[in-house]
Amino acid sequence: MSEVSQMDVAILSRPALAGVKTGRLGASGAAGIRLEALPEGFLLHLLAKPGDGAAAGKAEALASRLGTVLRKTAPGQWYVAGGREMPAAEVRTIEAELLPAIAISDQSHGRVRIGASGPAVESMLAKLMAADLSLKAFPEGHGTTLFAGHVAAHAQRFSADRFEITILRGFAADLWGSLIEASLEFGVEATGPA
Amino acid sequence: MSSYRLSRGGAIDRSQSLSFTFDGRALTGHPGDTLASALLANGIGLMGRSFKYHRPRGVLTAGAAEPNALVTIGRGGRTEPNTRATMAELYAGMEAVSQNRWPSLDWDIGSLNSLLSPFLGAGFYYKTFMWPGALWEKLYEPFIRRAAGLGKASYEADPDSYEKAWAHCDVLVIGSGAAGLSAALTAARAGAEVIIADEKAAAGGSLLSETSLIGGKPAHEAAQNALAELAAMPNVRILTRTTVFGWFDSQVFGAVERVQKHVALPDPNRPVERLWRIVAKQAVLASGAEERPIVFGGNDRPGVMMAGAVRTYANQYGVTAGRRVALFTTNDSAYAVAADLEKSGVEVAAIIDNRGAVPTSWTGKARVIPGGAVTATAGGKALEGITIASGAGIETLEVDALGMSGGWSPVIHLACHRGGKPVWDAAKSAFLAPAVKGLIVAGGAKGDLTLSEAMLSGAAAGASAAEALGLKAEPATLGAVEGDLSIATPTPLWSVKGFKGKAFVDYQNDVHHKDLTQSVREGYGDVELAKRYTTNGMATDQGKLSNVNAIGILAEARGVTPAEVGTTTFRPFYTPVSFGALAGTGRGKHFQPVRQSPLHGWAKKNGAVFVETGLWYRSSWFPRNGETSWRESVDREVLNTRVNAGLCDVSTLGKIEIYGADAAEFLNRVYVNAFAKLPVGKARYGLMLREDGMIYDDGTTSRLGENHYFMTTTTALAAGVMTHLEFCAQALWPELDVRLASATDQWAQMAIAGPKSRQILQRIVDEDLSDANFPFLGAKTVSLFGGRLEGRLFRISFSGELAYELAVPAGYGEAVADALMEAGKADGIQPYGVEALGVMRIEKGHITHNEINGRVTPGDLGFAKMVSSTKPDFIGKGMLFREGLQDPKRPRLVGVKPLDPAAGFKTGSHILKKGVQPSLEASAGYVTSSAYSPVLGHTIGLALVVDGPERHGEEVQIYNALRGEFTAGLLCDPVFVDPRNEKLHV
Amino acid sequence: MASLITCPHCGQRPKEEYTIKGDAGPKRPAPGAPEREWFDYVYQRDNPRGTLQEFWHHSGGCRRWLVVTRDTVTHEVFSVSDASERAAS
Repeated sequence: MSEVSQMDVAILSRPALAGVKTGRLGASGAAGIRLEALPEGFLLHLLAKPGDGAAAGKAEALASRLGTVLRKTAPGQWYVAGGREMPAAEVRTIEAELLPAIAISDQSHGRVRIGASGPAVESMLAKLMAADLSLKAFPEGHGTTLFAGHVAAHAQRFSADRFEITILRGFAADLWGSLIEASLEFGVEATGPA
Repeated sequence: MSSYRLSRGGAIDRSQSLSFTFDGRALTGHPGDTLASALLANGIGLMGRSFKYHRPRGVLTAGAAEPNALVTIGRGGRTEPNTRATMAELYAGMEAVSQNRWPSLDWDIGSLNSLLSPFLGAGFYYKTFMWPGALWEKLYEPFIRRAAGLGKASYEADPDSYEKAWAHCDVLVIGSGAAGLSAALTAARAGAEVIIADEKAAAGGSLLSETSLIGGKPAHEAAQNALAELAAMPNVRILTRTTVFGWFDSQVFGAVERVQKHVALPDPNRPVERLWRIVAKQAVLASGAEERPIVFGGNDRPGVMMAGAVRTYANQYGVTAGRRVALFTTNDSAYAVAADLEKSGVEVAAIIDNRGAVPTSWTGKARVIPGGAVTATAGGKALEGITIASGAGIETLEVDALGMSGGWSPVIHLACHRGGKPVWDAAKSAFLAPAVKGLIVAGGAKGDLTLSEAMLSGAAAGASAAEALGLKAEPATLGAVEGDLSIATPTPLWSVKGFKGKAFVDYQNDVHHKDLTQSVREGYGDVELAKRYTTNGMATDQGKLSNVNAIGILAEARGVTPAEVGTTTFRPFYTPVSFGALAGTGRGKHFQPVRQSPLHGWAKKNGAVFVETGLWYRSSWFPRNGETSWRESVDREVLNTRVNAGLCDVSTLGKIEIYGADAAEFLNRVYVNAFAKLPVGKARYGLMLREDGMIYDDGTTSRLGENHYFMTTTTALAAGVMTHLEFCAQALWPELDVRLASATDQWAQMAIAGPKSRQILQRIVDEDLSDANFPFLGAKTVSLFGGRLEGRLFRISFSGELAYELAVPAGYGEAVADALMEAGKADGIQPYGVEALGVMRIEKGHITHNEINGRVTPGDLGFAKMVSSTKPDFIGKGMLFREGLQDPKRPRLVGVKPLDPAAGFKTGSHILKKGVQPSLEASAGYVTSSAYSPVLGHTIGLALVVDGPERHGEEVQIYNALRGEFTAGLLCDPVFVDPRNEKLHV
Repeated sequence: MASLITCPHCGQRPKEEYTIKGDAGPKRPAPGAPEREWFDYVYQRDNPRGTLQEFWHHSGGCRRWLVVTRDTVTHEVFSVSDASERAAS
């Protein structure tokens, strides 16, 4: 007979960036860069058939409903992400609503978001990314997947001097280290997970 | 020590003194000096010893083309050999030493090589060190190794950092002289995003040595004003100390910025060098022209230098090359040098002008010798005099410096980096850049002869570049020039007739005139052959001062034009780039990205020893109780897992979510076996082939929902399988509704294996885990800790024990693993790593990439029956049924063990029939996996052997060809433990 | 260092973001096609000096398979299209 577990043990989630280097680092003076380990809330990977315009509309509506924006990763694919944890049941409900047009892979733990902002953010990210990051070529709201160093990541611009970078959990700590390194010459304020 | 510093002039800060050492000698200079200018100012003309002959050498130039003054600067991990003293910005505390001499620069034993010079001519290394062959290894090679090279590299770690960056612009201007500044101003004012780069610390190019007036101001002031305007524009980036070293595909330019090579103690927050990849829609090459040496006897004596360098040292650094200077020229430019020297109070003994007539504009004091040529020089380690031949006969002149100007060669390298060949212009006696798209050549690099022409062509280039981008541009120069002159050299002087002594062509590799003519005589007159035969142009300066003269000499010797001789191939890098810059941050631990399992922290705190598997760090074993060898730990982990229970991190295995109405059909097409009827809640082992019929990867795919499948792959091929699936879905069958998502990082996945695994797991899983409710190969979402967490549970086993794999969202991995260790404490649960995992799977005859080595089919591994006979198509089906892949004589999977339990054997050993001599023909197969089995008490292995399955019980030889060792063995069932799989189905 | 390929979905990116599979010319034989066709498809490749159509995977970006038409000598890229567009034939 099965026993329903009554194990009296705290089941806590350990952030991927727990224990990374934080604080005010690098060149002194006003920090040119701010790095933040964003809360590991929810992140859903939406998968539609490439070119399905109706599906794109549904994805847009979902993002609105969840109080966030779509992050385009590939033809017919987006992330929607936010700071609150989303119970598995809620994910299943959303999935049921969107199928068959959109399948959902819950990547709330599979991806990690890092905020990179400040007056020197373009110069800093240019050390890791080959795309033209100027406001003209990479406007607010634009997002794309590209190499950050040697690992694929997603970058989205939220304002003139703010980007969010989303990366596979397994590489998050490594990317954080590279971002710190690239930011030292500008002076960086790095904040770890809450 | 008498000083050669002029009392006035130069862009140096005379109010500050910088102390430095050269070969241990304490000296001083000023901010703004290079090491070369500071040495000259201190009267030090001897700066190095030449490569082959160890001839005393001084500085020849004031810039990047310097072939002689190569020194080693810095100490310890910062040591930088072969640094051009002309490019080294002086800083307080600089330590520089000369190279290629012993015991000292003044008294170098190597100079005895000059006595061997008859044996060191062109192609000598093809003619010497050949016989006797036995002496090569012990005598010739060590000798050559010691003699080769110039400076010595340090073996200490470099304490500084390097980085790389991308930059994007509309117009890249290469060079910030007259043409470059005009181009940049024009393009920038038109609104283009401009990057202007200059290899020197101070932008301005030759304008910094120029004394003519531009727009009524001294040239260097006009340059400063232009720079100030550019610096204030938000659409302009000025990169100084930055050499654009190459033009690559797709309008990408490589450049290296020497961010902190000019400071004694670099700021650790910044790199010392930065490698730029610049994507420029248009580019302007304004790299100027290089003055050519003249080839005459003794033209390498310290004190002989380029006339333009004499001018630069005087005007930019306030240093005179000598107290009594002569100039030897083929063009007008030397007259400006003479005028500037006389204005600074330096005596100019003579201007030896190879042309027939004296320019009427010369009003200075110096005597002009028309139609003259210097044929030889005199002096030991410094110039003392020259011999001049002219219509008036032979005369000698006492001088301590000689400036030579053989003409000007446009610096066109970058324009030729993408395959274009330069074009000989007979009127200009110059090789000009080929016509190329995306790069406009301007100024001296284009062959322009005057400052005015250079600025005009620079402005035109800037306008052209801007207009190509749809911008409206107004050509802008720095102003009108007063005192302009032409550098036209219509009649080139490739070498002086009747010279005495060695007349050098390539200073750095010690190639002289005779080497080139000998090359032609011996049949190596082709420019490519002559280069390799003589080594002309092959040194670190890449022939900047020697290539054109060599071509001219070859042309004369062969009786053809320089156009017919042609040039060798231009390739990046224009000047040497350090490996540090090319590596950027990718060194040491950062050589490759680090990928961590979500259970890394858990493994670490349990004492794991890690092993690198690709980019992952996997826990290999978990030593405890004072265990000192891996065998102790691994044996214990295996036994404990088979008796109690073990917990293993398997998060690194690839996980792919597959969705879509055609997901089942898709799986059917990528696996050899059938997946269409896999029920929801069940897992199935699958084999994936390559199109050539060989096994590619294996894994388990579970059906979690109507159109939702979850595939696992091996760790090593996770990325490969994902890419393969994407190719199939996108390129082969885009009509199928299949959606693939990488889920490897979402889940912390742990194997709980062993007889007590179920009872331990049951303490945290809410669902009933009895065999009836959760049979073998079950795959379901489960609830944990009384509904506090959801996970996925798979009843699959790699170890062969009763086992499960539990997947929980990655962040919860450590907490759940901790909970399992706590829940199983009384039952004796212990962590186990990939070593123990490896032993157990061999004990069970389970395959990995040891067996799937790219040359095996399903039949080879005993999986022939798994291959569907009804599916019309799957990857690999077309080739799997080739005769060769169905041959029953192909080696097939079998187990192998030693006859003597105490004996061992190694993977890779060959299997031979008993009594047979080893040979490739006699080999019946080979061992693919092996390990010590603590359960059985002896080494076991898996092997691929001809007729293996039919030869169980046969005695064989296990032969290690690398060590010549034989072990008597027995072929057997590859499933050593629980061959009827009873434990799996408990 | 160079060779920028313009992915139709992501824009201009350096070649390091891509993985190259090989000639996109050969078409996968229909199921049941004779062995000779399969042999050619799996093993036989031309090595043209000039224009080549090649499968590139934008592994560091959108992960779409692309067909890149380029010159093997000059490296000039003539076109880049999504591989799913060519499968119909």
